[in-house]
Amino acid sequence: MSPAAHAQDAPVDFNADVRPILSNTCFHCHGPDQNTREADLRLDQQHPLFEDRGGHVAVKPGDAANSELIRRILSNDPDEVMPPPDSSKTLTAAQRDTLVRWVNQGATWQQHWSFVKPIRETPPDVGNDAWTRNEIDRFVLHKIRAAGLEPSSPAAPHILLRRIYLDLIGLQPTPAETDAWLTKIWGSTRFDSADGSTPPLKESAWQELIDHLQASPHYGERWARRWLDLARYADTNGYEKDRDRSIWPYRDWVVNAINSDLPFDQFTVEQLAGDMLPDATIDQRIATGFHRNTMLNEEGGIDPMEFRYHAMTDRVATTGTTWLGLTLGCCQCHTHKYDPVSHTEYYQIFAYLNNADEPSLLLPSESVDEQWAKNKKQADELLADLPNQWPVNDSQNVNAEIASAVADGSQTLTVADGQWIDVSGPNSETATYVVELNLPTLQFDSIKLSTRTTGKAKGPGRTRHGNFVLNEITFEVQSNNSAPSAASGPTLTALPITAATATVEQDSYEISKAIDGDLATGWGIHGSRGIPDVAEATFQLDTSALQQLKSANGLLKVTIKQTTGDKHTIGSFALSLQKNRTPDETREARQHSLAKAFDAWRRSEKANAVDWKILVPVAATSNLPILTIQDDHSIFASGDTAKRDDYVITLEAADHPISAIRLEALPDDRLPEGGPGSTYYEGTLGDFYLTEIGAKSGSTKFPFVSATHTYAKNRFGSNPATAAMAIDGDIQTGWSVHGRQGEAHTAVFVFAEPVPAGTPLTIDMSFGRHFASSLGRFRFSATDSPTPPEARMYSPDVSQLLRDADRPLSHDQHAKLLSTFLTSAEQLSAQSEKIRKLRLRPSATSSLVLQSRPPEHTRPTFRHHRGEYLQPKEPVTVGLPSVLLPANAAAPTDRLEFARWLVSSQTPLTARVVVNRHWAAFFGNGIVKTLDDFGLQGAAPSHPELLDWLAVTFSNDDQWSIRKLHRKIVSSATYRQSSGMSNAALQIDPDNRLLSSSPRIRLDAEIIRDQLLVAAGVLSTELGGPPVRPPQPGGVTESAYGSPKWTASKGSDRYRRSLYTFIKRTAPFAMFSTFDAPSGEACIANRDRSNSPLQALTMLNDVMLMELAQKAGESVVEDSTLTDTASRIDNLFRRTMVRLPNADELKLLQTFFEEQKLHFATNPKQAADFTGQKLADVKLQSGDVAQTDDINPQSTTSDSDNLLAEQAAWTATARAVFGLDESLTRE
Amino acid sequence: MNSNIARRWFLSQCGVGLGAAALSQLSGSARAFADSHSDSLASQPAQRPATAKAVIHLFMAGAPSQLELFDEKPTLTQFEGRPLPKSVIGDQRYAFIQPDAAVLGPQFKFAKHGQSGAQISEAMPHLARIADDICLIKSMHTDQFNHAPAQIFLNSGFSQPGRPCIGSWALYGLGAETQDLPAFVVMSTGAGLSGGAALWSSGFLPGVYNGVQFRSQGDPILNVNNPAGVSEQLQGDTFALINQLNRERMKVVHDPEIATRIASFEMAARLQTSAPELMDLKKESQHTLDLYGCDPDKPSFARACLLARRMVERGVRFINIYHSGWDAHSNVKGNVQNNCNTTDQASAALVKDLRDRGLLDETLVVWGGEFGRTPMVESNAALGRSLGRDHHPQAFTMWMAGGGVKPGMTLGATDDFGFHVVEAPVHVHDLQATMLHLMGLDHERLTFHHAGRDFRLTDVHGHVVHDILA
Repeated sequence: MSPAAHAQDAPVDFNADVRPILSNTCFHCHGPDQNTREADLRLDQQHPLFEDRGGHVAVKPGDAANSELIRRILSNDPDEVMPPPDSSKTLTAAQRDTLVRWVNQGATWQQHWSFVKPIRETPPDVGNDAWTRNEIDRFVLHKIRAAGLEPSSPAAPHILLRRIYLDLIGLQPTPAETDAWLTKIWGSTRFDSADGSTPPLKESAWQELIDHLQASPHYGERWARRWLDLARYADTNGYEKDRDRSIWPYRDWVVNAINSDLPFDQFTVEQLAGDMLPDATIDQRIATGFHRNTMLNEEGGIDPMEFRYHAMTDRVATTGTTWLGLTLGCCQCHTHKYDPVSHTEYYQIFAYLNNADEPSLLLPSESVDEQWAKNKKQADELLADLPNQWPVNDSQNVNAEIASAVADGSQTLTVADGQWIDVSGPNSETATYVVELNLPTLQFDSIKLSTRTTGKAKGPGRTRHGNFVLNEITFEVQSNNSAPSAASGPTLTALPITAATATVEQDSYEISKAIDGDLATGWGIHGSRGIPDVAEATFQLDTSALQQLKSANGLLKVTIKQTTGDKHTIGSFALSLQKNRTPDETREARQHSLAKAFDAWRRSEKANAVDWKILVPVAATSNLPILTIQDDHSIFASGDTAKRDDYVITLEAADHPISAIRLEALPDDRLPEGGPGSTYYEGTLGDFYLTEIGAKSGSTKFPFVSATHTYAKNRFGSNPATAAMAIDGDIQTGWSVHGRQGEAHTAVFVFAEPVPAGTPLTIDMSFGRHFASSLGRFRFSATDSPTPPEARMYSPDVSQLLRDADRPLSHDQHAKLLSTFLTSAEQLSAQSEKIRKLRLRPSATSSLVLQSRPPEHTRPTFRHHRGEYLQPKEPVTVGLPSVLLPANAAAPTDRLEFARWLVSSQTPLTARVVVNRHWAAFFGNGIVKTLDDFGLQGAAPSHPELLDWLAVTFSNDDQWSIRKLHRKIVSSATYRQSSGMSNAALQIDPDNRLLSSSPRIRLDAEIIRDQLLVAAGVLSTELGGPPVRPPQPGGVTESAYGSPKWTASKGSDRYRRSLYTFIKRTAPFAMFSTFDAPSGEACIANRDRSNSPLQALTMLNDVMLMELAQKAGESVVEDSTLTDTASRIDNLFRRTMVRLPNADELKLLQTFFEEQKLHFATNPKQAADFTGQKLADVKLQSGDVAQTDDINPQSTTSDSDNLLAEQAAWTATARAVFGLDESLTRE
Repeated sequence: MNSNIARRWFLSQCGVGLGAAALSQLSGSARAFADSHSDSLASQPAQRPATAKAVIHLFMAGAPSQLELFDEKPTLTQFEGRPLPKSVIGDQRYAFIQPDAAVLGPQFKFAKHGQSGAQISEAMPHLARIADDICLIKSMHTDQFNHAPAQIFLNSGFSQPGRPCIGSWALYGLGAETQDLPAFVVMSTGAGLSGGAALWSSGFLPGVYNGVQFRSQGDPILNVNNPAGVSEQLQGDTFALINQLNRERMKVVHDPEIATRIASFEMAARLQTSAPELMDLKKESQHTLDLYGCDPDKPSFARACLLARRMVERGVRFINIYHSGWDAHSNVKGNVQNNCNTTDQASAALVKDLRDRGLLDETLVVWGGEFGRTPMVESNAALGRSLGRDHHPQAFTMWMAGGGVKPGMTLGATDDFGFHVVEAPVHVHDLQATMLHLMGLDHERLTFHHAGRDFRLTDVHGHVVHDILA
């Protein structure tokens, strides 16, 4: 209430004095909401207030006695008195008196001030006052003087310099910058603080400083952060899973827009409707991320449309707060209780914003394209080399018949299948097998021993568990021409074994132990996966001795000894001889083998190389997604998608019978991760889950009997998700392609009976699991092939070549077909996988955007009863609240026009709301204190004329330039006052609404950290890019879903500006939330500024701030220009506070430093820990050889200890300075 | 709240050490500078007589199956394998199952316990022994059927993040009884939580009303332990230096906010002593440790319960203990058994311990999840699930003990399928209204003006459940 209203005859002002009373006390029952309106009486509008209501009138101007409203508020009758006794409302005597006087003075009615267009007031004449610098000061000074006060003296130069740096760029000046600007602006760097006098400020230099700061890229960073509070920017989706999202390009867009002084009207239009601008640029589309910062619930089983609705209500509320200063959120459930915005009008605004799809925009990137081209080139090279990769043995078999095979003891060796030797008969504890092979040649290099499991055995061995041990194996040759000596029998030439390998080895029973000549050791086959069914060992032989022999052939004697016991004998084995190939032989063998396999493949693939004929879709409908038929006859799904989607695709009749249809699932950049699915939450982005597919024509169903796919994988567990599961009649099972997004996949569905030629088919497809997972782009084709083909991805020309299996191939055709074969061959799957991955586009940055829906698919908007998602009522089309729309004016028709209207001269609110928010950034409070509420319940402006002057100047003269607005503010004398309040001001204006001094403001969390980064000398000035993770205490993220780890970034990314810190909604960065930074869950116009013990603990103990104190401590020690303790303290203090410490402060700091140094000198271990060093390292560096393991605190301190103590004491001092109230405050 | 009065109290009680003249000047100018709220934790008179000075909410995140624990439904066994009648199920949406999913019978045996004959299954033998100390509410229901929104709803009365939690409302309404520990403490055992930090957020209330997490590993409160190399001597010297320098600055700029900052640092210093003292379970007897089944050196639900009792003894107002892991989409039997193995003994021990120490009369213990589980089975080969239960908002069971709640009673009932509440329904807003009521707060009068209107925990809903008041 204005003080004037107290005086009996003083004029009562409706807006200032009367409406607040009516609004607070009466509107709840006699206001805009007709559902709660009593007696059909409305007091918030002019007409009903004065209309004749059957013999009486609520307000009769000039005649309180005959005004029903007055009669009721003065009545003593409990049945009549207003407000009613059972309401919680009351009127004070003064309020009643105000109403009476207002009526008697003629009851002038005015529209609520903020709904009336601002006009530029002439600044009041305050005489030729030397204090004023610009118009702002004339408005402010006028009020200060009217209250009997005077403005404060100008702030001390150091303080003012720190203030403007922090305000404009969010960083304080370094000591060097400080000295340079002090000299420029005030002509000195030292000021005698004792007498409080300050030399005059040189205005041109001050303006130069403003230029300098506004030209800094940090200007955009600082002001972007405030805007991001409104935009509820975060790097994760929110809710349960809270997965990462990529929308940082939007954040960078905001920084760039501010740095290039994009006029606020354009800034608005691009963010709300950049996608709808003619020839919208990528940047303009990125800008629409503003309303994509809403949260996305990825919890399993949610209804995605329900949470889209919640996101929409957030968008309406955010638009209201950010541009209109109206609490539109109130009207989601019912007509506003106070402001003239109806329930339906809320949904009309909703409708402007509702008609957009929400894709992720893949951003073009030259570097990605370059990388991709490189990768593809490498893929081509690998592909060309594939024939050389075709696996072939570099040795060939040497046929050698078994001449004899005997075992000692009771076992019998029997030759089976020509080459296998099966062991039977009672097993003995140990055994020796001797096998003789007829050698057709003495040219061989190695011998392979194969073992196998036969009958009911559990492995190739004869033990109960199937294991065996081969303790020793030897090879000897008897050549045919070496005459048997009568005395010693035939001469045997032993073949030394040079190496041995095995397909499986048991721990401690490696194959080498079978050739080590030690019968106590041997080869066993119990591997990591148990005992295998087959085990093989290959022995490389030194056959040089055989070269001496004259004969070309001979007899090979193989002796196999099992001496371990416990019946560890081999049950069935074979021996084969191998001769190494020469490179030429290998090449020839490879060509031969490849040619053979290629031919076999051509023959077998003929059946699958079908001439697929595209089935042309004539109609495509669904329960929800917008299905658009593309030029290539594929169908593209956009718009919304539900937990269960049903597509109905009508296809043109084919002129041939159809034995099978092919479904191509196609990638598309418009889909999440490039598709082919439209899954955008909870599951694998870009995946789909086709639960059922069916075909019919009219009422005739054509059932499928089988289905194949080119690729299938389930995201969850190990259960399959195949194309066959899409025709099994079970809605819970289906086909999905987890893990291969951005690629095409096909499935072939074979009909039980061919569909007759000329039958138009309708395909029904159902999608979805516990989350929406439909196909985003797909196409159908048909074949009349009598043999049911399997799904393949052959290009038409490859198919053609395969079908003409007998036709000779040209060189190119052969190459093409061979490549197809090689990339599909199991033998080369590892190489093919590499080629496949190289051909995929490297992941590029994307950003969440809005995309206007096609006119024929406008999303309908409904009024929702009680604001509930499940209670849509009548449809609502776009429109504006009537209070904001001049009579006869047409409302905007779409989102783009709505955005333009918000920043047009038609809108009374926007410019005021914007300048008020910026004002608050500099003065702690807005001219309207409720930054987010300019409605009837909002606070009245402290300087209405100034607010309007600023609003009109900003939107009109200055063409919405924020930069010019800032310059006006920081150029004012009002801004440049000191921050101590006079006693008179404390008495008269304790809230300092009149700004007779500058407020002290607790800094934002991000600025506190950034400031300390500067103070520690480590700030990275790199701009933009993906978010980073500075260190924070362990366990901050542990309570979030999935207990995600927070791995601190390395190198300079630890020290990036706080704007770039990764914002995880469910586990915000600890230091930021302790200092009231928002979590990005709601639009915030005005941050809380708390002051808590947890902040104290953070300042002293937080791991990151500790690191910064260490860095600051280090740099003070290392700065050689600082010669003594006092100068070092000065320097340390100035790094944060900009000013120098006064004598008392200096003394306190000095005493503290000396004490800590003394303490650390006798506690080197503590000093090392505290400075984040290893004691051993310190000693080494300093060349101090004292043993670090047995530090004796009593021993005399060494040089390194002194140095360490010095550094630790400086770290301690920095830590204390960082924690000062002044360091957390902009004065 | 009148911040001037609060600030005056704060300045006079907290020994900031200002002269009387300065004090009177400051109190008059409390609003002169940018607002802050450090003073808002001053103890406030209750709006009505309180029966619960403190609240311990054992939040069983993930939603325990009431059909396995408290709500015995033999009919389900009879119907096993068949779908529910359409008349029962209506058009309810589900997270994972189809509405025609078959019914699954109870997986545990039930018996009546205590004088009161409370129905509790064999899965909770310890709770059964204190049946006469608790009040079972079998007729809970909620609006939300997904975890994060339902957990946020139960805490803040709204399904989206951004509104204050009940603990924050309690502090806003009542202030703190202790200056040495946070007044609203959150502990969490088991896996991470669906609702995240929104579950203890002060929303649009000032940040000082945020719940403070006591972590199970590392520093119990973030940064409460000194960094490496910081001795008590150094920490003490640092606090002293900062406070002295802050006083120096105050002489120049006369900002009462600095006095608040000094007080904050003094409280921080006390917190550094009181938190380790709180966490030190050495003085607890072996009998007590055994009662809870608590290994003092290992983070566990049992240890959290014991710490909660110690917090109540030290004046902490509101304690949340989250135990997540009840989300039994598959193998509900094994799930319930495992979770009961972890929580049953300690939950019962907490009530018993509070009772034996005479604290139960003024301490409210609340146990329960964010919703219930379906009478129908969840099975899904593609997800590898079988014999589970899906989310069920229509009916679930919670229990309360102490703090002015009638002991040994059961409120409400569900239909034969355990699907709908048929007697004495208690909506989440009713639960919230009742909890505030027990703390001495009127849920309709505990409001905060924000974004153009007065908000309250229960929105425009909620009725105190008078039937359960002692």
